[in-house]
Amino acid sequence: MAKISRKKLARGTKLMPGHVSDPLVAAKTQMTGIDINRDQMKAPMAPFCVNLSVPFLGPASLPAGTITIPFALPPLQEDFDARGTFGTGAPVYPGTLPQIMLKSVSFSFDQRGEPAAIASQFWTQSDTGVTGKYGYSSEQAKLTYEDVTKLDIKISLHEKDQAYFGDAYPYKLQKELWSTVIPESTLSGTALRANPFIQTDIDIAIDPYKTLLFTVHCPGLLDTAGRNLTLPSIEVSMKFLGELVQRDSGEAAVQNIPDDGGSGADKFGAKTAPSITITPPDAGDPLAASGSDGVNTSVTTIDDQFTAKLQGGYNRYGDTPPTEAIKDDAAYDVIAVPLYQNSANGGISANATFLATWPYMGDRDDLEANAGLFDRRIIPIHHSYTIHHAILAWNWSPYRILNADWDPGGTPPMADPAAPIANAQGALWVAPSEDIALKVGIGIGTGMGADGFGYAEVGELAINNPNNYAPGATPPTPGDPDTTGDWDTSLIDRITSTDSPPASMLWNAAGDGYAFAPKWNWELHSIPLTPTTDSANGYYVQGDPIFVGPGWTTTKDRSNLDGAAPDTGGAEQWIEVRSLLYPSQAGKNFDTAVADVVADIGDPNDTLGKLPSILVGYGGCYVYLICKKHLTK
Amino acid sequence: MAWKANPRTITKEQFSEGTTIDGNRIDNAMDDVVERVNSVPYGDLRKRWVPITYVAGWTPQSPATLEMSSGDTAESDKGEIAGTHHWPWMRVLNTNSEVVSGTLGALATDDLRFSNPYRLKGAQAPGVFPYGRSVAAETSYTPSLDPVGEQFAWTRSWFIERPSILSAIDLILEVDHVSAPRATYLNSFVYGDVPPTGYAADSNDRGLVITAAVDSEFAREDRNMADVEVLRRRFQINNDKVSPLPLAKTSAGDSPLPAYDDFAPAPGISHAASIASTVQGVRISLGHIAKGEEGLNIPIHQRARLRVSVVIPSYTAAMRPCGWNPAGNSGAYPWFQQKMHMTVTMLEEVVSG
Repeated sequence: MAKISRKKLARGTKLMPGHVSDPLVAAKTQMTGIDINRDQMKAPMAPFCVNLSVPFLGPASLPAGTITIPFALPPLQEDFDARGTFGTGAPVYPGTLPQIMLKSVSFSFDQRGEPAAIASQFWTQSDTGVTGKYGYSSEQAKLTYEDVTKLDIKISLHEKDQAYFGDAYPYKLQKELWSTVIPESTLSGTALRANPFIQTDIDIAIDPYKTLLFTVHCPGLLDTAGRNLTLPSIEVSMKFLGELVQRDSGEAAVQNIPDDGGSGADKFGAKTAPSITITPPDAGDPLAASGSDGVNTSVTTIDDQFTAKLQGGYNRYGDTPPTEAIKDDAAYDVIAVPLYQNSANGGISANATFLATWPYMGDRDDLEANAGLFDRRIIPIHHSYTIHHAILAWNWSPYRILNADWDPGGTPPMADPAAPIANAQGALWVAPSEDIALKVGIGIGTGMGADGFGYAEVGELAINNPNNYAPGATPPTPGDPDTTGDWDTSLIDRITSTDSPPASMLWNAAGDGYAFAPKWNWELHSIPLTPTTDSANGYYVQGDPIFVGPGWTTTKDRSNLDGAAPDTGGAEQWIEVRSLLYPSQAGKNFDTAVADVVADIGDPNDTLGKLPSILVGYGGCYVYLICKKHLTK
Repeated sequence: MAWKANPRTITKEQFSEGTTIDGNRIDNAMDDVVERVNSVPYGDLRKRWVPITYVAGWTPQSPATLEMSSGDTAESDKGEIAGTHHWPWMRVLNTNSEVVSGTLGALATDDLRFSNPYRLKGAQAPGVFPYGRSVAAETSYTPSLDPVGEQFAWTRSWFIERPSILSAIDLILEVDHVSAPRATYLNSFVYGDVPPTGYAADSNDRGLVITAAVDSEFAREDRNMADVEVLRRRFQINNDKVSPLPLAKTSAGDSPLPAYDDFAPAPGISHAASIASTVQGVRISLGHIAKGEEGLNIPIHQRARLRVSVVIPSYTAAMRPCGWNPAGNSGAYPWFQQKMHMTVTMLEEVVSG
């Protein structure tokens, strides 16, 4: 609907002042009211991308050559419907909810610039090179032109209801939103290859309260003759369009937002309108071209605003223009942050031999007590954002340790007693221990190349006991594998993304022994923003949106963060995401934590406790920062 | 700026005292005003770009627990820990020795022509000659044959659908404090006792290369024809340290106090804590801006294929030990000597849908 209108000057109409002054005054009011909104823009949408970086995908995944990665695009805090309770109710979609649309998908991997496939570290064809049964192949990362024909790659996007809104075990995918196959013929041409591949104009509306899951499936990576392949350096970029929205403002409503800006002091993101004067002719006065109430004067006044261009958004230092006319100058954004990727065996296992491949864990014969799996990502920023939500995607996807082949008569990749069962060399079940805890923290930092150094916390998640064991009691059992407990205090969803989910080691129905039940590949957890006692909108109790952005002299003073002046002093240079999975009982390491529980749970020989159970699934985990970004230049 | 018939933006109509006027001109002018305000072109927005962030990075396999300098390729030593893989790093040279043994192209006599024997432009580093090095002396000439040292590239690529701006590339090579307990990643970014010709022993390493290139529109698979948009090489890596301050080795209790434990989980050693040290290492920022500057500000045309590459060296045995190739079982694995963090920042315009 048009924002301003006018009376047409039809032939023979008596010319009245309103014919001229009304539309000009209306235009002025639009700008002085800072009311140029997305409905009156020719380009009312802003792109954002969910960018997933995967260092490699090999044949040891389960199913072979498959990786799945879930994410969610929940509404920004102001659009998030009132908080409910896990597992109950349905989401509400207000009419004002900005829409999100999937526009394109870009997919690439590194072929070394050749029409060839890349040999895996598990290339074991006996008559080629010096190859090992369990990796370390001399042919790793080399070109194989003969095998590029195996690279039919299916990529797809699925959706499912979130457990938060009632989806129940086994948490299966529900709908394929989009998929395509990149045939090997497009990757094997000498003159042109579709790498990077893109599909555009997809135009699929996205439900913000559903879980989305991206899948890469290349079954040709596993070869029975040992000509195993890898897709190195996968880059997935899903481009979405979101409607422009108003930027956040207010000292109490936004944490760490600049007090001052180009528009003046104590603004906290609020805008200052331009000063525009349109003087309509008085009643009975003849219309004039010039003069204070002249037609030309008024048109020029409006024209000057457009010639100087309409202002809005932030510059690179978190600063605002002196005056602004644009109402909707912000947009939805996602920063996808990988964690625990590129590990030695694809995932991280609780077995000492494989656990010791992760740093700081000690030697495989002498694991460090209390040591946890620590990882962090440092994300330098050059523009300003307000963080609205943070979501952890935790991975339990199984994999085959060292691509072992389940051959009972074969040689296991580890000697006894570390792996007593030759056909069980897979990381197939979640580490069975109640003594496992997880902390994931999000911070903002300052001090790169500077003479100061500081951090401030933005959000934190602390959970424990991933299997919801109840020491001294029998549940959970295979009859109720979907119990929730201390691990699930911020749970959004559980996702069974393949036909080969991991298993949970549970008590049997009688409570006197162990049994297995299918678990799920992934979990989504909300990472509450600081302070967690606040009542801002989201899945769970969390704090108000948090501004983060480089500052300068004018924008260094900020509103409080977690009730106090932020330690970054208004000069954020990076966002940092840290994660620590650790044995929660003092003096233990993961190995003993698992063995103790396995013994308790009824395995008389503690056999299963020595097998390589899963601490982190194949391909690692992600943290998604759901942000509002701003128009900039 | 394109030529136009009048100085106005919103309407071409002008009204002046003493000149003719009719209703149509006023009607046209008001129509222009209403149309412009009701349907603001994106070019009327002073700021019309939004940032898009591509984050990547990982903690590599621990070099501290490697029990072999290479894997037992015959069978794999049972239980002993070897360097299991070096993804996503791959050698920069495409030649017969880089083709899987026993397959087409592995022999020089095979009927195969490499599309891109040199897949990166301008990535040469001091002391490394992946394509071999010829040496002329007074009385002899040694032709270029075998590579001298190696270079490994990590390449990320995207199809850029719409006109964009490459704003920044940030690469952080994170290492541990040298005195931190269980310090694991210890690349000093310094040459060893035998530096490349022309450099001093134990001087700052210059072997890291960062580059971004766009494939040619007319020869998309010919990397010789690619447009190098930005290239940084032969710089002293240690001149870009994360911080010039002597940051503490762990968090609380150390001096100076960099407040690492201002958010959890904090690095350090205690129960339920990690053992990683504080953030050490280098940050190479292409596009880091001083006041008034605009970052890299490199326009990327629509339907471009953008490739961002990082290249690390692996020096010959004679040049080891050094930062990338330390003593011990991980000496041949330069990709294990630091944690990786890379962020690419692009700008894209608002769109109509």
